[in-house]
Amino acid sequence: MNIESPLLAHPLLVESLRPEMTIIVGILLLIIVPNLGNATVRIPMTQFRIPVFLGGERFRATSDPLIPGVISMFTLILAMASSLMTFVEGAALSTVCISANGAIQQGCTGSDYILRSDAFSRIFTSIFSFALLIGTAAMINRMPARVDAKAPHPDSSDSLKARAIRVLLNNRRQGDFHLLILFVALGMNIVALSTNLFLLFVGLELASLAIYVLVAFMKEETTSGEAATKYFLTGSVASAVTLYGMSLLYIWSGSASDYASATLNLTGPQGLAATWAAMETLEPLAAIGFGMLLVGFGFKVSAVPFHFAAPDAYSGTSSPMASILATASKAMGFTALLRVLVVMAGPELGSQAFWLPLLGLLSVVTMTWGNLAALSTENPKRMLAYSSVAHAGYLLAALAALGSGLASESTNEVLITAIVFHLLVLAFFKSGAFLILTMTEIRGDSSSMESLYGLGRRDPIIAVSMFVFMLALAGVPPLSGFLSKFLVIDGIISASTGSGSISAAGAMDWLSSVHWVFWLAVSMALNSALSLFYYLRVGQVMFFEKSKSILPLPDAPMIRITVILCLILTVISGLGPFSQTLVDMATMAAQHLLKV
Amino acid sequence: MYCILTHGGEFLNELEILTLTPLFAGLLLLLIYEVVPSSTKKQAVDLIKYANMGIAVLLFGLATQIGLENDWLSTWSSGSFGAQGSYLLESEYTSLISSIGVNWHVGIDALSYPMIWLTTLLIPISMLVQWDADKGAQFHSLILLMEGALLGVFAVLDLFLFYVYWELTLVPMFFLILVWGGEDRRYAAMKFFIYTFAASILMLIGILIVYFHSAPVSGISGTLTHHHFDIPLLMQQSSLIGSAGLRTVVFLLMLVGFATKMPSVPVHTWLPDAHVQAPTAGSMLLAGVMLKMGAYGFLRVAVSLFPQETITMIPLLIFLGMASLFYGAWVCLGQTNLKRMVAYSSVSHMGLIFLGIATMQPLGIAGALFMMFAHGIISPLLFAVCGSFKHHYHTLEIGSMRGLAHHSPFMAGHMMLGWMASLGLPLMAGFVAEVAIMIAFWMTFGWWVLIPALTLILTAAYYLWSMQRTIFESGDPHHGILPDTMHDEKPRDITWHENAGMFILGGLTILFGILPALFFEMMSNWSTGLVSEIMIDALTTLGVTP
Amino acid sequence: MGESKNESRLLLFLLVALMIPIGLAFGGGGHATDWSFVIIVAPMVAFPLILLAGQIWNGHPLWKNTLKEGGIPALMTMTITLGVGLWVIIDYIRGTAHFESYSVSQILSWISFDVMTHTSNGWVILPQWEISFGVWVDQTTLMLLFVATFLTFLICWFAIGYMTTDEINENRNHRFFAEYLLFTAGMFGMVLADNFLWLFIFWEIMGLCSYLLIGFYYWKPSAAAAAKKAFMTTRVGDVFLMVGLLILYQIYGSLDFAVVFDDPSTGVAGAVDANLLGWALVMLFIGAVGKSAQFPLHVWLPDAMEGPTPVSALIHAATMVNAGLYLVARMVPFVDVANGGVHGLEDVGLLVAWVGGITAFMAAAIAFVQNDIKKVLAYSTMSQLAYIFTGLGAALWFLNHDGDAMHTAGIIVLGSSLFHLFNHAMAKGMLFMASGSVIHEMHHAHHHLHHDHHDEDHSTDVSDIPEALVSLVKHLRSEGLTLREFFDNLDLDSSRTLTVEELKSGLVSASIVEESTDIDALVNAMDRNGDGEIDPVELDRYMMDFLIGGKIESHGEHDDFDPQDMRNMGGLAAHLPVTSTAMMLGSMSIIGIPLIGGFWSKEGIVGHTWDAFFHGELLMLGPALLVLLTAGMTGFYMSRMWFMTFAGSPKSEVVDHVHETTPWIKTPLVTLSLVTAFTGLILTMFGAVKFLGGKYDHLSFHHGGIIDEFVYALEHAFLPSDPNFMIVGYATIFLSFIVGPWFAMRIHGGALKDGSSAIPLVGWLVNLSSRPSKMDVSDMAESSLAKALQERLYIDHLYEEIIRRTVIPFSLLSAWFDRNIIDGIVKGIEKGSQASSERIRLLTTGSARDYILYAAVGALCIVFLLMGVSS
Repeated sequence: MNIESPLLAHPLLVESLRPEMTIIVGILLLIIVPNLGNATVRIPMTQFRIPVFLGGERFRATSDPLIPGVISMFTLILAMASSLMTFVEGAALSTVCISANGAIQQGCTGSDYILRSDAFSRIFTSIFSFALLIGTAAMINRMPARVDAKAPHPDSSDSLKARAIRVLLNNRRQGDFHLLILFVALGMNIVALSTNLFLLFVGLELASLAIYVLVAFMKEETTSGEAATKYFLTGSVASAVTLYGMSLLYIWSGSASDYASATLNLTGPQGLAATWAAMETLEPLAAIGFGMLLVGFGFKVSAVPFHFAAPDAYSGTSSPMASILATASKAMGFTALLRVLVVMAGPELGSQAFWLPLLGLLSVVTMTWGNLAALSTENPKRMLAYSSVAHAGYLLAALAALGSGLASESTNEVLITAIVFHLLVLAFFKSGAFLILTMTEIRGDSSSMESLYGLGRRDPIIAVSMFVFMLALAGVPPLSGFLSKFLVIDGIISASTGSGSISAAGAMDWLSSVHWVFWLAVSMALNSALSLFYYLRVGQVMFFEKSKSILPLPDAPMIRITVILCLILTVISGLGPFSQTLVDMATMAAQHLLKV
Repeated sequence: MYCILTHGGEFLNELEILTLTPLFAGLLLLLIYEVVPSSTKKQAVDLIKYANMGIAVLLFGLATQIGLENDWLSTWSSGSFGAQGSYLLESEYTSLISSIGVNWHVGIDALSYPMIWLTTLLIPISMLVQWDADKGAQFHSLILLMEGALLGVFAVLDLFLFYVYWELTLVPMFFLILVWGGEDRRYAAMKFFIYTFAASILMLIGILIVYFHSAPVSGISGTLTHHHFDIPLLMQQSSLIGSAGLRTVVFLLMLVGFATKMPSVPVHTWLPDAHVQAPTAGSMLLAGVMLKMGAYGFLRVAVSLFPQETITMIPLLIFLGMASLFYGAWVCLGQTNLKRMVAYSSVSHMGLIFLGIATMQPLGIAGALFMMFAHGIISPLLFAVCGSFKHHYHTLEIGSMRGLAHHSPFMAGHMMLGWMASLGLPLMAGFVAEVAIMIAFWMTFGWWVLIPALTLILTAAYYLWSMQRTIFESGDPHHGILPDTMHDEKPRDITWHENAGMFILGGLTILFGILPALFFEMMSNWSTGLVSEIMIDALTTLGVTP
Repeated sequence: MGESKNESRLLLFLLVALMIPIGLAFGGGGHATDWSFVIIVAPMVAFPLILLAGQIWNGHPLWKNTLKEGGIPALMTMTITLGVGLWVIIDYIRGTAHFESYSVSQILSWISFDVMTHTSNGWVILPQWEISFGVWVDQTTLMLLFVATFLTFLICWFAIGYMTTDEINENRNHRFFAEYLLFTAGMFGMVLADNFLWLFIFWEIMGLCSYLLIGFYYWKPSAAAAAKKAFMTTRVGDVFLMVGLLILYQIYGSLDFAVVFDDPSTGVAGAVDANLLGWALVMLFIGAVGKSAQFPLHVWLPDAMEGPTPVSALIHAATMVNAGLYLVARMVPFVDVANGGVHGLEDVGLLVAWVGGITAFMAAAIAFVQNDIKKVLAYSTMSQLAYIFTGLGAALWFLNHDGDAMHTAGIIVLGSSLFHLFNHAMAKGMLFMASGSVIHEMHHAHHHLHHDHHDEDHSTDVSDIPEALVSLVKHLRSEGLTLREFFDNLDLDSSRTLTVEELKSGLVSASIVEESTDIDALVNAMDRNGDGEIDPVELDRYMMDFLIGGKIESHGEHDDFDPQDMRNMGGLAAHLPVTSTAMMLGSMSIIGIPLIGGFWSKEGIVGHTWDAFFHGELLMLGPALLVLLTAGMTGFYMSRMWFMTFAGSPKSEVVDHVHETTPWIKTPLVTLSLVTAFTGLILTMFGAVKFLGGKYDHLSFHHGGIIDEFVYALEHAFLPSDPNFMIVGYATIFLSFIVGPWFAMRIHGGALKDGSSAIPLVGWLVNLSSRPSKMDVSDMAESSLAKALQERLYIDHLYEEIIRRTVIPFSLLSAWFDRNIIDGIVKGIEKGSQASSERIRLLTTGSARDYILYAAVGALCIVFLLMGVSS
């Protein structure tokens, strides 16, 4: 396509892709700024030297190791803010679409476009930015940059040398880390925006690859390398399958009419959604392709049986990364899942989607497996990993209810609201928990319950916040975790209860008449009771057990501030006006998703 | 919470102040204790303890004031039963989560007021009894927090908030048990929390089904879901749920939650463990108020919303009641641990509540209400005695100590009073409830009354048995036989604050035994309202005749 | 001595205090019934005050000596109650109430409520039902009120003397007096209550206090057990009583006497179903049986002797046991067909009569073999109450038949039953106090004697026995064993008895005595029935003697000296003039010696029970025969007791040192002697029987002057118009007056030992008893029947066995069930989930190869699943 396409010139472009633009700018800055120096190039045959400012001796200001952190955090904050702008300005104005041929339009009427910036994508981009922001903030204390770092004195003791070298190393890799973080952000945003499967895949891979590196980032720790390898291997297999699934869908979409019109667009007259709707009986090709998509997304949301690498990855890598995995990358998976399941293969009202039994099964197995596995683990990070598996199960249950086709318009909205809201608040308390683990990690070890023993005495406020996060995860009112779970169960019940027979006289009659989706709610209830075992256990060891070390937690200011922030958000988003705002945002997102 | 503090302008009413103060005060005091520099912690502890006690006493005054200024609620009902307007100090709706229709809406009637009064009474007393608990600051603040949660349960009229407060009560109690409990406290605390949570989350499903069937009301229903949680509105709504089967399902789901809290056999086993391990104040509140939440919720939600199911389920209620009452008494007889025995006796007494409700007689229901109230005064006394016994003699084994009366005459006296009150001796509060329930029970079920009646013998048996082996028969006119756990420590009588607390409770037990009308009036009014305006319709629709 | 001065001063004050309300009465100061609640409230208020004061000023000299540890306050309270009581009585007899049959005053509204019921037009609410408390006064009330106030007053007086002079009660008496007051409050309340529920309430309060008082020596296992037994046994009755009340409530929609008695034949739902009402009455009766210690719920009464003697007097004579009778008397209106009673309830009457008859006979029989003076009295109480029950039974039977003759008969027998209650209460109250006096003096004399003797204690191994026992007690405390557990440990062959070897080895193993020690003396001292083996009871009693005496009293010559055992007495007439006289009069009254106390009422009961039989009720024959025989037996055991105690030569040297010391004890005895001797005749002349029967509404000469009345009374007693009456009457007199005492004299009678003489009042009887030829009954005493009687016909054993074999195992079983099954399920879930957790985590092998494999499998599954759906 030609350079002076209308796209770049279009005023809406910047306006609609503000966050992405911000991130790109951030990336560029990260590449350039640290390299600014007094390098010069001599004009040949002359003695003249022209300063090019790249390379050479770094300037004092730009060689400051704190710079990258600052840049990336600002970038992310800006990105988040600009994403949230969507909800400030009216919904109508903020839906902007970009089509393959570079056409860019407001309101997105009909035509087949590949990127869509609306409330749905924007709420997710803000979730991504927030989650990554917290991860970054944690990393700033986890991998501190020291301005005054010196090379080790030749005749100092080995341990001193080692420490000095570690400090230097930390300074060295600041830039790399934050760069990668921003790439993750970019990739995720693309996923959130794209309404074209191929583009979606590109985003997915961009994010994933960066994440694989990040998981291994603290390479001085033996575990992280191993974890990353496993995660990468399994992940790559999953995405390969996904890619294969996509190609099948591509072929199928083409064969529906003729190959020329083969597309991976979800929307539009020739879009997959349309083709899907047009198809009378489910065609195997579509089914297989679709199933293979699920595998990839299932891996991202760590649904059983694709979750196995997750616990290893979580416990292997550094806690900030684990928190990113548990919140941002999971949210990304669900964005993709929602787009595919709802937009592409969503059920018409009244008729149930063909993937309903699959998701029902998947959700029950996932939530139960997650909780059971978490019961007996002695490693808090692993435990959190399993708990996020369980939560994935809850959300899948909501999706199943959506697919049952029993629900009314508004109930569907409730269900998607629930999912979005859950992913939103998850970024508060899940990251909060990981932040606290980061603190214990800095003290040495976060991969065993002992690290939390006696925390109530060592650092009451942190301990209390940890306990609150646990209760939130367990879904104890009035915390946000409860509200999200509540919305899910409510959605399921509202969807399924209607299916029970009115004339049923006895309890048994009714229970036998009701659609099985109803039981998803019950299994959720029982599961969340089961999950209390391990969530409470954390509180128990913190306030009951004698601590091994008398060392107080490090006074990592960045982390402490963030923990308190998360704590406040967790509490106030459970009940009251703030939660109201969040729910409204989620609802808006849901409506936009369903409007597609 | 700003929006609650000012309902678009005018300030909170007394009830809202009563409900919200302890919650925030407790949190604040906890926080204050954490942030004061360790150099001044010592003084801080005392200050905070007094602050807690002061607030608790003030709240009690406020609660009493509320009762007095409303002429002790003897005439409380205006408008149709349970609908808006039939509550006192009813706040107007303040939306908390408008999209799903959660509203701040509180109000009291003769069902909740006695419970609220009781809570505000027991809180300062339980503080008093354990005035010298270690980590006193946190301990007392947690108790205050507990009060906030409990009052919330009894005050709110919104099912969502009801559930929120319901679960909220678990958290302070969890800590009270975990941090200040006995040897086996971790297991007890976990079991307590998980067991009751599991039950109540099933109840939540029931609540949600009700919610799903609520008719939209503009300004109250959720903007997103078009449903609401408001109990009065739900009660007004005609034919809440169409399908009888579904109604039964909901009723049973709720029954699980409430029966577990009560607790009723066979879902009672969390109670003995929790009680035995909990600190004295903890078990006082647990037995005094928390168990009543079950009965309260059952009447407030399950019975009021599903009268027909209540009637059709009467056999089940009878079975549960009888099982708790009779079987519980037998288990008591088999216990060797004093506190465990008392705990099971609570199970046994709670059985009477189901029986009272099952009679469908205003008298029976009033009796059940009074049983809630009376047991709420008596059982704290029992647990206070057990606690101080444990505190001074370091054991709870029945029979390890003989001749308590020699060394701790006051403790022995309180024990005797409490035991006697609990076995239903006349002129004490418990008897009133028993008589009322029994009369109603005979009126409805005739000779079946023999089972509860004969249980009274068992009750007497285990109480006397334990007294004989604790207070009496030291075999020596001047010394008791001290338990080995004393390790030749000199036996003492109870401390002044324990004594004071127990005297208050004992005095009230007798006062309400002689003048039950103080509360019985309003209770019987309420139950008459329930029966005449709800139950009778249900009976007629079901075409039930004796 | 100071004591008596102290007392006389008090007496003066009390008399003045007494005058005030009586003055009010005659001065017509207001309506007495409105003030009658004071009778209940006063002691109830005094109860906590004395208790607390006693706790606070424990041991303070003022409190201890001047106030007698609460005795004086208690006595003052009693004075108030007695005063107001007399006021009520006088006011009633000569006041306005004179013309109505009863008077009521409402005091307190207890609870009020609504009731739902089903009528022709569906379910409706019947609003405003109420249960309130008020005072109800009629003849029956009056009589019991007098008995209660008067006797409790005197007993309290007696108690001051009895309790405060026993060092074992040091600093504990405040508890006694406080509980005593509460007890009286209960009694007064029960008598005055104007409805059945409040009757029940106070009835229970009494039960509580009897528990507390019987267990007054709480450190004695036997006392603790007895207290529990009393409470539990009566509780069994009470439960049924309560059920009875429920039925009544449903029938009449109220429990107020005013409502119920107004027209017993119609309830809220129209005409009353006689069957249902019958059941109600039976239930009430079971309650009465429990309270009045009738067969089969009589077991608690003998054990209740564990309490201090004044308590026995209180419980057995004045108050508690009469409660049952009172309740049965309250049943009369239900059956009284002449005044709107319900037909077809004769069977209730029969039941009552039969229970009475059986108990009367059984108790009398057991009393034959008792050697403990208080036990004899206990059984005699049981037996006499049974008389009254029989009489009431007959009354119920008569009143339930139409016809004037029947009605009059009913009234008479009802009246004489209540009258007998009165006489018996007076006499028995006195007897208990007299026995208390005997025991008290014996005890003191024994101590006195012991102190004289302890220098010349001649026993080989006296030195190490106390040590042995001391160390034994130490051992028990340190092990936290009860004596019984200790016993079982020793009892190697579990023969439930210890041989000397077992005992010795046990003691040695517990290092209580050395191998070398000679424990024969110890064994001899323990072994009471001399069978060479120790059974638990013996061990227990031995230990208790030791512990309570605080010293060895039980070896050498006065082995296990028991001041209550009549076998240690004899010839006390010489030393206890007042006591012996009182006891003589009391016994006469109980026996029914003509013209004295009980005679006037007993005749009526026996006669009319037979009369019922003559009226063709064959089932009445049983009770009639039994009571007739019992009359004779009463004659025997009462006189046996008297002779064993007072006549004959002393059976232990203690007797010679006995003399009446404290005056606090004499006064009540004298008072009651007079009452017992004369009130029977006097009241009869005033027509008490018919007054109590409800025929007359006041006491006065109904047949002209005093002479006429006297003649009328005698004539009715000795020359009744009906020949049947004549036969029965004389048969009774013959049996009780001649036969019984005759045998008693032959077995136990005898002159005092030379040199000592009794006052003439009793001297003649002593001499008389020495006349008839002696008769040896030792072989009879060995007979299995005697054994059975000593073992109380094994009824207690039976109950104990039943409880031991059913209740306790079942309770343990349910405890086990709860812990292992119900809670086991919960634990099982927990364990199960943990285990499965472990298992599934095994799949997380940690090698990426496996993970990929799982993923692949998963993918295949998904695909196939979707394919399945699609095709």
